[in-house]
Amino acid sequence: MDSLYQWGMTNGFREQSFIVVKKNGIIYPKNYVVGTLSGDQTDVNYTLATGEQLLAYFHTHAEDTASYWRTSFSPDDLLEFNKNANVTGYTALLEVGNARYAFVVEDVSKKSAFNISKKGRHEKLYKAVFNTLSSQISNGQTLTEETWIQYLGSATVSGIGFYKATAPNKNNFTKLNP
Amino acid sequence: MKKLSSILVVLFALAFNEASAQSSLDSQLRNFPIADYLNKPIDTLIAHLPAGYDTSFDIGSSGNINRGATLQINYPNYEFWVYIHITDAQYITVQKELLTPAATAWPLALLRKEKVGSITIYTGAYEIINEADIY
Repeated sequence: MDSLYQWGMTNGFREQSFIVVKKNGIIYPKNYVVGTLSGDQTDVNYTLATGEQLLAYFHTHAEDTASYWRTSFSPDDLLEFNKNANVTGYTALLEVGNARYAFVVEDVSKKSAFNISKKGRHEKLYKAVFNTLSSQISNGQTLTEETWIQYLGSATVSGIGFYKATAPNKNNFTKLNP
Repeated sequence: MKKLSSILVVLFALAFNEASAQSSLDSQLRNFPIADYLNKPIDTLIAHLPAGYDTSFDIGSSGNINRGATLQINYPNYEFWVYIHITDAQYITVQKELLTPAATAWPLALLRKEKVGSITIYTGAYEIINEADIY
């Protein structure tokens, strides 16, 4: 994930993706998609072979710290996550260089209820929280992170866990919305 | 008694009509040939969408809050909504300052001229009922 991020930074591909699958007890990545140059949208290939189970989708925000702030998930990323968030444990992973973020389905029923309560308005309502917080938080990464914490609320209610792991390890995830 | 019966009949007819209209719109949107509108101006898509949508469209961001203009067209009470990404922007700049409102950065009149890159039609708990993209 680090190497993809670095490659994206060097070559201007912000949103690369792959999926993570499981088959016969083995977990592996596949379907790497490079995305478009300076792309504004994540393109994900969910094609599975026989017997493969989709566990997660991954993408990068290969962004500088001056203009793009290595931001956390976008509202569109929640929509992408929702496409396959039908089983407990399904995960969206995001690499932003100095940190990794994850959305995890922790309760499918609560996640569906959360979606219905926001139906058609995820982007609009997320942005309302973002705008409120923007007067208090100047760092874009922290701002987007805190927006998600408030927008999702406790995972015990929304059914969606929001996690972060920081450099240099980036493997020890902390739940941000317990 | 007769009056009460008449009221019940009217209420039933109204409820039936509403359910029928809803079902019809659901069917129209599920079968709408969205692939025909890829790489064409958003205006062309709007001109052919099933009637009944709210004319106050939502302009938003896709990639993150500061880039990637999107347009969302809603049917009343968000029973259905059509989410559009653009491609190969010619009339707007897809990046904006972090705090600039999307509708200011990406004026609707210009955004409507951009070409459609993807269309997703949603209902309920973000159930996708129809989608197509050029990617």
